[in-house]
Amino acid sequence: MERIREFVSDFGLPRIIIALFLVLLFVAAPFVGVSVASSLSNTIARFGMNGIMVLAMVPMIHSGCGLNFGLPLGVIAGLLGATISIEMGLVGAAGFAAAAALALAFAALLGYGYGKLLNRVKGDEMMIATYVGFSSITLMSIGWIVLPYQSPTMVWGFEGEGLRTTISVEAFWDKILNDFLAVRIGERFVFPTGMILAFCGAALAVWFFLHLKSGSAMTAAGSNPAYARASGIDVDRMRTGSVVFSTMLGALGIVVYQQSFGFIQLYEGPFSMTFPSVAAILIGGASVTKASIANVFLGTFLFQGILTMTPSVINSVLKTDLSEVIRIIVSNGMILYALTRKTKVAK
Amino acid sequence: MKSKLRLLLIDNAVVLLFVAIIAVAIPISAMPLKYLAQEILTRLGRNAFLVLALLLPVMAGMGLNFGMVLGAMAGQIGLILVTDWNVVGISGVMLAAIISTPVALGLGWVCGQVLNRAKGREMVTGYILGFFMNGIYQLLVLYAMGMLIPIATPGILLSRGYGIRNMVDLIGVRQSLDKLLVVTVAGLKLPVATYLVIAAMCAFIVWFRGTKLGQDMRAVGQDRAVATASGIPVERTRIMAIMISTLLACYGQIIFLQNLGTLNTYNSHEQTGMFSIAALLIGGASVSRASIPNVIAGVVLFHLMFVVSPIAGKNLIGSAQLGEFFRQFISYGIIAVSLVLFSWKRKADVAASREALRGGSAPASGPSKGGRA
Amino acid sequence: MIRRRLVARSILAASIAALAVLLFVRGKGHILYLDTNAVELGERRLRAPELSAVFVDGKDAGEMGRAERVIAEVAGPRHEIRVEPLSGEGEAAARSLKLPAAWTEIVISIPALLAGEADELVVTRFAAPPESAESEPNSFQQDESEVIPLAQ
Repeated sequence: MERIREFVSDFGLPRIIIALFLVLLFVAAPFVGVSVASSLSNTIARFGMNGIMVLAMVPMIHSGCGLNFGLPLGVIAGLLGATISIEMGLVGAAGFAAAAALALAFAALLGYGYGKLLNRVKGDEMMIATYVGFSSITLMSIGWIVLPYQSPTMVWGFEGEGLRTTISVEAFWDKILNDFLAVRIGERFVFPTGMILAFCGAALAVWFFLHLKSGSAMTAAGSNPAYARASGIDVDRMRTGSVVFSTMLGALGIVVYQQSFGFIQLYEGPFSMTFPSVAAILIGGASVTKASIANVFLGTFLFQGILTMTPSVINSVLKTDLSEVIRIIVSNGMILYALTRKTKVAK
Repeated sequence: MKSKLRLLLIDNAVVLLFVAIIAVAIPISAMPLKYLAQEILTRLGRNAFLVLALLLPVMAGMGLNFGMVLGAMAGQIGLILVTDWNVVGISGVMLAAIISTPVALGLGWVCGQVLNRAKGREMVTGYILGFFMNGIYQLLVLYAMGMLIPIATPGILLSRGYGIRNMVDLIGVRQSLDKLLVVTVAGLKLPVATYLVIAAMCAFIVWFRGTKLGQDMRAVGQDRAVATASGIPVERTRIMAIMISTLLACYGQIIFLQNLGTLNTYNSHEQTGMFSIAALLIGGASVSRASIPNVIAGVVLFHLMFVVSPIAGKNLIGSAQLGEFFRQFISYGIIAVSLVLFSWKRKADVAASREALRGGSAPASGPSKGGRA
Repeated sequence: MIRRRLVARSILAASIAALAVLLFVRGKGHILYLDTNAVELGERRLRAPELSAVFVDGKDAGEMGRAERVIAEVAGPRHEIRVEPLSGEGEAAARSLKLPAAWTEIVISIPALLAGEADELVVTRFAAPPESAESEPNSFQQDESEVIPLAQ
């Protein structure tokens, strides 16, 4: 009994509830006529699509910058990379590589400035990051109208100016990672090997980053800035580095997302990327000050699993579409839980 | 003397910046001044009350109350019920206010409890709480209404038989407060009754600052540790500040919607928080200091920009969409910039007080602003 | 001390509740269907004049022939309805009618009013004709206001 209680308090009650809920959904699925194989396939696909963006939370949490509500900056860098790659007319692997490379370059640039800014507002990062993210989305919306793009796949025809709200990547690099070495089992299950490999690669990069010398210095800077300073670590540089890294992951993440999704969503698109990523890592067991790669994997799987399963299962049980509401309550409830946990060390 | 002038300029930099932007934008938009004046007078009545709701939490050191959307939701629930019961006119507005009062107080209490568990990051927590409650609100309005809560008017229900429609026509209470007493001055219509309500609210806030509870709130806002030491129940005081703010936001939303005359069931409240906060900040307020003049100036400037920018954008570059994005950019940007400025200022204050302590010359009177969140 | 506070609070709560009831009654909007259809009362058959002018609270609701319905919207519990026969059948009549707060749509029978019948016969609740079963549950009909945009 004691051990169970310890486990519950260790793991967090909301997390256990969510995990049990997901298990329940998978168990119930066959009884309401939902195919487990295709559900699992969908879950894995979405897991791969969103994973890298969730991973983008890790470096910043480690360096003590809190949850990365500034993810839209990375997303914008990714959108820039993708649109410029299309503008250049690159197709296939070359196009995707160019998109990713450009995205990373823009992200490094934006992340550097963003990191410098966050260094000057220590303690208030999360709220400021949220609004910096939002204002950069709207600023970029002006950009999408004004920037001199020419490619006919992206520019509006007669009625209107600027880029379209959604751009199809079908003719360029649609599902290029998903289909790479994809394994098909049975009728309804596809394992998107390439995309999962990309995710694992990114996770490995984060792992190295955290465990190399600079990484442990960064973690020290995050968990105890005063101690870190005393031992000769440049806290601000560590923080900037983590923000750049986070932003680059965000940029790469959205490019991977787009190739799987098949579309680039401009304008208000980036608004909807942040909260699911934040919620996912928290569901995986991270807190505002601590996060591991295991948290990313677990959290992304749980959260995306629920997002995939609730519409199909709950709707066929209750005959109404409750999934949106459940998504809102679960994701924001999780963030709220993390923000109000008493165990957190006071800043 | 010169430094004083400089200080004044710095203090009002945001206001001056917006006056400048608007001074440029109005001629570009080529909108008739009389139209603009009428528009601003209407919008002042529509929005000022909502912005006033933000003042108390700032005073209690809890920053900008992003949780005010909770109050807005409560107000909307009241209006939906009143519309269903077909209670019309000013009675309908007042009845909606009475029904939503317990809802708003309850939500405010929850919000206060949550924020007490997140001292130091009230704003981001309140912001997320708003989204979370939005889920609960949707559960209530989109599913429970018509299923568990009886709704008699089929016209406001979705055709599936339960859940409120995306748009609810508030024809019964439409502008019933605004039209209660209209005075026409120089061809401009003034909604005097609404102005009176707003003025009464201002008077209440001024009076409230002098009460015991108001003084406590200020003390808590200055420094939580000192307030605790002098026997002020800090947690309770903070909850009170949020509850009053939520209740005012609820009434503010009712005033706002009776003027508009249509309720966007699932969107109206979402914009309320951002627009009110942006307006307050444009009026020269900061996270730790906000006054009634800030509210009035903010509403006027923000809404001038709101009205002018799409047309100005269209005339300048030929795209109304551009003006719309510009407007959004300004709303988000101004919040971001003021949060950054405030954070810097707080850090500078802390550094200054540390310096003073080190020097040993200044006694403990150095401002210790650690109490903010 | 505590008891006095409790008493004060209950008085406050009660007066707010009373105010709410008052507001409900005063502000309750009614849709009146002024109706000139003939009414059967046992043996008797009451008919409206061929042409009459109807006023609600002194406001002209329009001229009505036989077997017509005119809509008037009012708020509050008590309203004066005046009917002036224009075709020379009978005297003008005015009645102050009390409308039940629970009813939104109400039929006012003009012939019954002219005949001086009891209020219950003049003021009746409007029974909506049963609506044709519109759609099966859970189908989102594409009406502009039916689209639910869910964000965040």
